[in-house]
Amino acid sequence: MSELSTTSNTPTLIKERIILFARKNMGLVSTLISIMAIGLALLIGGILIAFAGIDPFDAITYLVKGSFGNRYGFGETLTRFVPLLFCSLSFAIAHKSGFFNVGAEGQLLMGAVGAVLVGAYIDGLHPVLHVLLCIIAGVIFGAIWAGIAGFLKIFLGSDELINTMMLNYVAILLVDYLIHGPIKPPESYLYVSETILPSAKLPIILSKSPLHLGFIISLVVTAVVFYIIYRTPIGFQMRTVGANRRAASYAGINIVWATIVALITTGGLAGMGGAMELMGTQFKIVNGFSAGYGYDGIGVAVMGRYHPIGILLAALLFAVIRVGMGAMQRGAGVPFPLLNVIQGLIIIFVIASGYLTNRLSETVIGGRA
Amino acid sequence: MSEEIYLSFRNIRKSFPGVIALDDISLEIYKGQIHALLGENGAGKSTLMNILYGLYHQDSGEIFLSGEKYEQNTPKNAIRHGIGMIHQHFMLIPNFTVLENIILGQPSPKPPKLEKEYFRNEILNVAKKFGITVDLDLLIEEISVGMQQKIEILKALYKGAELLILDEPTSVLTPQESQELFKMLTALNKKGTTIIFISHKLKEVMQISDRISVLRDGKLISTVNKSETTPHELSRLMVGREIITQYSKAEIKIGEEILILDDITLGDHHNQHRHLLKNVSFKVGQGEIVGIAGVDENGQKELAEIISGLRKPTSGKISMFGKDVTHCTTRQLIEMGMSYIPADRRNQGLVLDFKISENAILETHYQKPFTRGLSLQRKVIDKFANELIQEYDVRTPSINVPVKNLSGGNQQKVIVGREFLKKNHFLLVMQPTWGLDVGAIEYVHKKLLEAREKGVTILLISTDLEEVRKLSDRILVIYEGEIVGEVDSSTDIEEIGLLMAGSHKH
Repeated sequence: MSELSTTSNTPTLIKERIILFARKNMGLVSTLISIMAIGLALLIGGILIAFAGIDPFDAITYLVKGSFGNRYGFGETLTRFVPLLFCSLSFAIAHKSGFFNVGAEGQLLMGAVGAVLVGAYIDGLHPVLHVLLCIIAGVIFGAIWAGIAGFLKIFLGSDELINTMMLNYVAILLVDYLIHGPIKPPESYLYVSETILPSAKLPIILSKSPLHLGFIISLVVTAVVFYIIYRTPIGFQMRTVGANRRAASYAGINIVWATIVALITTGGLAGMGGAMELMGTQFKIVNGFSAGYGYDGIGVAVMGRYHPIGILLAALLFAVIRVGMGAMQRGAGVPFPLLNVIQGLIIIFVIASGYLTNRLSETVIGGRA
Repeated sequence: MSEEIYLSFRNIRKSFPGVIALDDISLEIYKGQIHALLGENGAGKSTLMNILYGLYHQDSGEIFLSGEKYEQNTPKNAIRHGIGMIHQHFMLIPNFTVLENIILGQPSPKPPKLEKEYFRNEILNVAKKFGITVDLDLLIEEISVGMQQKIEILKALYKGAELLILDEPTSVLTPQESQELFKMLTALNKKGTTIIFISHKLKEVMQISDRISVLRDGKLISTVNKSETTPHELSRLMVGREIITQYSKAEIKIGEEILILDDITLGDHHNQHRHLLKNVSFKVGQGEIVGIAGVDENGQKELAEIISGLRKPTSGKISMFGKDVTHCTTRQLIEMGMSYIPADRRNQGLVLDFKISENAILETHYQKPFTRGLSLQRKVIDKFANELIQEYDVRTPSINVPVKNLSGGNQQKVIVGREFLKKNHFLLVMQPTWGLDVGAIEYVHKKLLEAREKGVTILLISTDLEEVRKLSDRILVIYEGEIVGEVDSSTDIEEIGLLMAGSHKH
C-alpha cells in the first residue's frame, strides 16, 4: 500500500481528469478502442500472411482496393452491407426485447420467398407499388416465420433459441423444395426460382456498380427501428420486458403484446433483408441464396453493441471483410482458410474490445456511493 | 473484559469516482468484544469492512491486526488471518447441501476424492464447540433464511474465524430469527470470538454490542461504550439531527370503503390440499392505513399480487373504488388510481439497467405528457425525473445514472417518488423500508402519512411490526394465508407477536 499512499494530489487530479473526459466521451473512446482492435487483428493477420509466404502489404492493399478502391468494389461492399444490416437489426431488436432470435437466416429466406411470389407472379403493377408489395410480402413472411417460434414461447414456454435455430433448417429445406418444383420456371433445367419481373426490381443508385436502392432503404429502416426502440412507448415497453420481465408486469405492461410486437419486428426485419437481397441483387432464389447473412447478423449486432451507430459500422466492417477477402484471395492468392482465420481474429478482437470498454465504463461511470 | 486491541484502522481513506466513501477513518476494535458499526446507508460501514476483508483497497491508510501491520488485504489472506465475513446476500449455492456448501473450496485430505465424511465430523465438532445445531444433509433451498445465515456463520467459524464481520445481518430475518441470531452471537462472543456488527438499527445495536462506532458520510463521528450512551444520542449522532420516534397522526374521518376483499382463496398448484390464501376478507376505508402484519412467507406476497392484478384468485371477489376488479389487469388498476410499491425493489419495482429517468416513467410512459403522438417526450421526461430526484431527495449525480448504481435507500426513493407523483387514490405498499436506514425510513413513513392526510387509502403489508404499529390505524394479522386477527395499533406488541406466530390455533 505504501506506493499508493505516496500518490500526492496532482496525479490524482490528472487521473480524475482522464476519468471525467472518458465519462463525457464514452462513445469516442469506445470507437477508438474498436479501431485499435481491428488494427491489432490485421497486424496479426498480416504476420500470418507473411508466414504463408505472401507479401502482407500486397494482401492488405487488395483488401482495401477490392472493397473501397474502385467504384464496382465500393458498390459491392455496400450491397453486401444491406442484408447484413437487416439481420443485425433483427437480432438487436429481439435481444433488447428479451427474445433470443438466432433464426434470421430462416426468416430472411422466407422473406425472399414472399418477395419472389409477389415479384414474379403478379404482373401489370406500377413499379413503385410492385416494389412496395414485394417488401411487404417479405416482411410478412419473415414475421410469420419468427412468429412460429414466438408463439411456441409465449403459449408453451418453449425455448426460442432452439426453435428459431431449428426453423432455419426447415426454411432452408423448404426453399430447396420450392425451387425444385413449385416455384421453378417450367422451362428451366436449373433448380432456381422464377425471376422477378422488372417492375419489382430495385433501381441501381450508383451507375456501373451493383449498388441498389435497398441501401438507402436499409439506412432509413435503421433510423426508424432505433426511433421505435428508444423514442416510442411500445419500444419502451419492449425494452422494459427485455430488461426485467417481472418489473414490466408490475408496471402494468402487457408482456404478451410487447413480445408479439418484438416478434413481428424481428422477423419482419430479417424478411425485409431477404426481400432486398432478392429485389436488388439476385432477382431469383438459388440454392445458397443467403451467404450466412442471418448468422453474420448476430456477430454484427454483438460487435456493434446493439447501438445504432455501432451496428452500422460493424455491418460495414463485415461487408468490407467479406468483399475485401474475396479480392485478397483472387489478387494476392491468400488461401481461403487463412482468410477465415483473419476474419475470426477481427471478430474476436472487436468483441474483446467491447468487454474492455464495458469494464472501462464501469470504472468511469460506476462508483456506488 | 480484556482491553487488548485486536484490530486497528489508521487514517483509512477511500474514494470512488465522485464520492469520498471513507474520510480518514481511525478506529480500534478490542479483542473479544462485539463492536457495532452504526450508520445510515452510504455512511461507509460496509466499505470499511470490505477493505478489511480485501474486496476493496484503501487509497491510503493502514490496518494493524494483533499489533502487526496487515497488508495485501485479499479475501484469501483475510481468511488465513482468521477474519470471516457474512455478507448481506448469502454466498450459498441453493441446490447444494449444507455440508457441500461449507466445504466448498476446502482442499480435500485425499484428492481427488471429496471425502465428505471426513469433513462432516470436523464440521460437527466445530458446530458442537460453538453450540450450533445443524442438519448437514438438507439442501440450502429447503432451509429458512435464518438457518442459512447460521450456516454462513458456521462456514466462517469452520474456516477458523476469530473475527466475524456481519453486514446488516438482520435485514433478511424475522424478529424471532433476529433474536435467535443475537443469542448465537452472544454465545460465540463468550467463547472468545470478536464480532463486528454492521447495522443501521439502533435497537439491535443497543441490544448486543459492547462498543459502538457511529459513521456518517464517510466520517467516523464517535465511538462510545454502550453503557455510556442512549438510543437517543446514537440516533442524533447517526443522522446528524434529532429524529422522530413517534409520529403524530392527524385525526381523519374514514370515508367510504375503497378496497373490499371478499372471501379470497388462492390454491397452490403444487399441492392441491394446500392454500396459499384462505377465505381472506377485509375492507379498507378511504383515508385509512390498514396494516397487514405477519411473519414473512405467510401469504403476503400472494395477497399483494392478487390485489395488484398480477395474479388471479382461485375464488372470491375484489372490488376497488366500488367496482368489481377481480378480472382487471394491472394496467387497468393503475389507471384507476392504484399505486403499488412492491417488496423487492430490485426485481419488481425497478429495471436496474434503466436510467433513473426511464424508471420514473415505467408505468406512465404512454400517457400524456410523457408521450405525445407517437413519441416519448424526452425533455418532459427528463424534467419530471429531475423534479423527482429533487423533491424526493435521491442522491445521484444525474438522472442518467442506471438505478443499479444507486444505494438501496435511493432506489426506494425513486420508487416512492414515482408512485407518489402519480395520480393515486389507493396505495398498496409492501415492505416499504426494507433495508433502509433511519433517515430514509423516517422519510418514507412521513410520505405515507402525508398521503393519508390527503385522503389516500393505504394498505401496508410489512413484516416489520414496529412499522405497522407506528403507521396503521388498524392491524390485520396474517398467518398461513389466513387473517387470524384484527387489532388496533395500541395493542401490545407481544400480543400481536403471538398472533403472528399462529397462537390462535391450539
